[in-house]
Amino acid sequence: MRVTQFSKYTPYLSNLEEIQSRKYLNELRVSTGKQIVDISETPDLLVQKKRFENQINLHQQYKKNIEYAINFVQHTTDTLETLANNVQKIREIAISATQIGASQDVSTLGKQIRGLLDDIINNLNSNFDGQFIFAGNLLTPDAIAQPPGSNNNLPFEIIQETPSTDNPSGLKVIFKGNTKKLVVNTGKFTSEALNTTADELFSDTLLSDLNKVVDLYNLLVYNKDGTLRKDTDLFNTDDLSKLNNYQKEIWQMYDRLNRANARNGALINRLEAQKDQTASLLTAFEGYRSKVADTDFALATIQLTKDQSTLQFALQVGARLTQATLFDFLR
Amino acid sequence: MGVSPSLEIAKRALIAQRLGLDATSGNIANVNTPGYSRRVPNFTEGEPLPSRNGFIGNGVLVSKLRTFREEFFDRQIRRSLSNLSTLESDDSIIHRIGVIFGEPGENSLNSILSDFFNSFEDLSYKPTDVSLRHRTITLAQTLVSRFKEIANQLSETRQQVLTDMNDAIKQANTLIKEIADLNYKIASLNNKTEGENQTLVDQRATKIEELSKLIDVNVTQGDFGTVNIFSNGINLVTGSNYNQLKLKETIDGVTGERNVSILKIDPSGRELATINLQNGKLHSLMSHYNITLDDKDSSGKFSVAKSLEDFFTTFVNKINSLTQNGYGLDDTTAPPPGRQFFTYTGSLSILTTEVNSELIADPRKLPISAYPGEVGDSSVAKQISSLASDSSFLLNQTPDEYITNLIGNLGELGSQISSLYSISKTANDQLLNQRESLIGVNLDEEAINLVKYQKAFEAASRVVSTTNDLLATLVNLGR
Repeated sequence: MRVTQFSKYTPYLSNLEEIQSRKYLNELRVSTGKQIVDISETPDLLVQKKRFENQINLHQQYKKNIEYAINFVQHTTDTLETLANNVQKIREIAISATQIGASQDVSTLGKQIRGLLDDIINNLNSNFDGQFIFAGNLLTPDAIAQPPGSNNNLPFEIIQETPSTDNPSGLKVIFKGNTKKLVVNTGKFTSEALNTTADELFSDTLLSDLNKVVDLYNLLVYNKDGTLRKDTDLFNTDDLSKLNNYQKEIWQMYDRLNRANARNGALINRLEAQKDQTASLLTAFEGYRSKVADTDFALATIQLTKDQSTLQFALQVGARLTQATLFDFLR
Repeated sequence: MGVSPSLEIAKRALIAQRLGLDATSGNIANVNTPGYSRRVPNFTEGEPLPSRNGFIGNGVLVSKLRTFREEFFDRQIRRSLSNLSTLESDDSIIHRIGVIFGEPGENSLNSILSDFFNSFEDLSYKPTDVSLRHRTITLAQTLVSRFKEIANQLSETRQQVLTDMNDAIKQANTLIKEIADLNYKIASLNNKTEGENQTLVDQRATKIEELSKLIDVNVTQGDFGTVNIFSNGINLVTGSNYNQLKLKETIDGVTGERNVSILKIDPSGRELATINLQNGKLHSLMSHYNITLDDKDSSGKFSVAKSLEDFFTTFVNKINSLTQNGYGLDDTTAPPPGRQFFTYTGSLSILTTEVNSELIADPRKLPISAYPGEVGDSSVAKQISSLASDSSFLLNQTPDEYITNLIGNLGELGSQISSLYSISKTANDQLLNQRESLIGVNLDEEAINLVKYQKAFEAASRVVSTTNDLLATLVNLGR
């Protein structure tokens, strides 16, 4: 085959461009730490990388959801514990009142119950991150409507009604929220209800059992005729029987609160398990993504060294291309 | 027989060797001229003259200046160049589209889309948080602006492709005219020595090769050394007569789809025929203009702009249909206010769509609750976030899968083109190399020829000088 000027230089130039381009890509890989530096070089890996990234984003969000849910439920649990303690204290007071019988401290006990009832209402109106925890899906004061007699936009309130023989104090605990659930997605196919609703805490949304505390308060503070109980006004058998019934019903409420809290404990356990599982999946996906998308430095460095040597030799060959022709020897 | 024939023979030798020296000089001078075909003088012995002792040689003649151009290689190279040029143009456009999508990069469309859907997940458990609502709206604005940026850049690329096509048409028309002109000159000089018109033949071959980079070209031999040029069966050059090309844009009255085609026109501009190009830069540009970059493409082939537009319209329609049935934080009574998340002027498209300004002004109006007055309900937000994993979102794919596959298809196309380009480039280089080994100049060879002709010229000069001495001796005999 005849070797012409063209055959010497053109293929050389073409090869040189190829070597330089390969070296450039490997330099990019080493300097950026990314294996995929060109859309059309390995499209299958690019697609895989994107799929893993989608899974990572999705699971990061699920993890975030679960973490929020754990904090929400944990806060609910803490609140419920305080709530249950207050209910327990009321029950203890009811028992004390039974035991005191004709003693002189009954109205004082009644005042204590009133204070504890206020505490319970405060507990029930508590919020997490600006959202009521026991109001169903009416999470903010804006969403809470005020019925007649109500003075605020909180979900639970002690209102003052006209005193009657049945309710000489005229006090009544009302609930203005609803019993809808707040559901959060914890995975692609799983979700959990976060909130504990009023009907889970109390016998009904009219708060019949919580209003037993008001009845207890009425019994301790008022006489049958509606006058304030004096130290000399002793409990009769009927009063003692009522006191005993209230004490039992309050115990049932206490039991219901504890059961609700136990459910929340189980929920936290479940959420923690899901969080761990999601974290493991995330780690796995990040590993897969890294395998596909990150530079294999050992390989890239070897390739780069190889390319550098190839380029060096190619340049040396280029220098030889300009070597002497016969013309240099003709005189 | 006298002495004068020797002088005649020496004269012919001097002329022949000088011609050899000229050809060699020409070869050396054109060593780097693209398309140049080396020339070598064809020496033949002159008609012998009768003498008493038989026939005696009559010196040397240059019958012709031989060239080595072969139509076989020229045809193969034209085909290969046409193919290579198509792939080069395809590769450049696909890479440009990849850059427009920001791929492979961190801030891809997928990540913005994922952030948008995830923001509805956040809202699903904190629906009353106005800052989160604001964030969702900001992310929607970012998403719309990213889509617009991509759509605008695709549209600009399409316009650039149109400009490139116009340039290519101009270039092709100039080449067609130049080829016809060269045909005319070659035909005019056809009866003169072959060496003179070989320069024109080489020039014409180079022009035809240039033309084959733009359109697919078939060449047939005509009379008096001319050639006829056809493109996909449509005659463009016949001898010195030629037709020009014209780019014609048509707009579909119903869909508004713009398509271009290439027509053959006569000198008065009359449209004669449509040329269905199969190869060449113009073919590549046209297919990207009509398909890949056309957001209204109806060919059913892979169109990046159309796929993106389809995705966006589906996305907007699905989200709007959900938010239309939702309630904002202050919507306390049924029926729902029918608030759309995205609004558009005229027909729905990427460029006409914005996030509802009502929501931007007051994020409390973001309708993510399914019931009036129930601010903690986030059913609509959940439905929107669940779209992210809805495998029937579009063409049985989730939104992320659709965008990923769009990028994947683009990458796959780029990969195929790169690999075909690499193969074609190698094949083309080999063909060029083979042709060059025939027609190209080797400087060592030319140096030898130079010495060869120089020595022969010196010897012929010596013959003249010796003959001159002989004549002088003869003349002096008479004194």
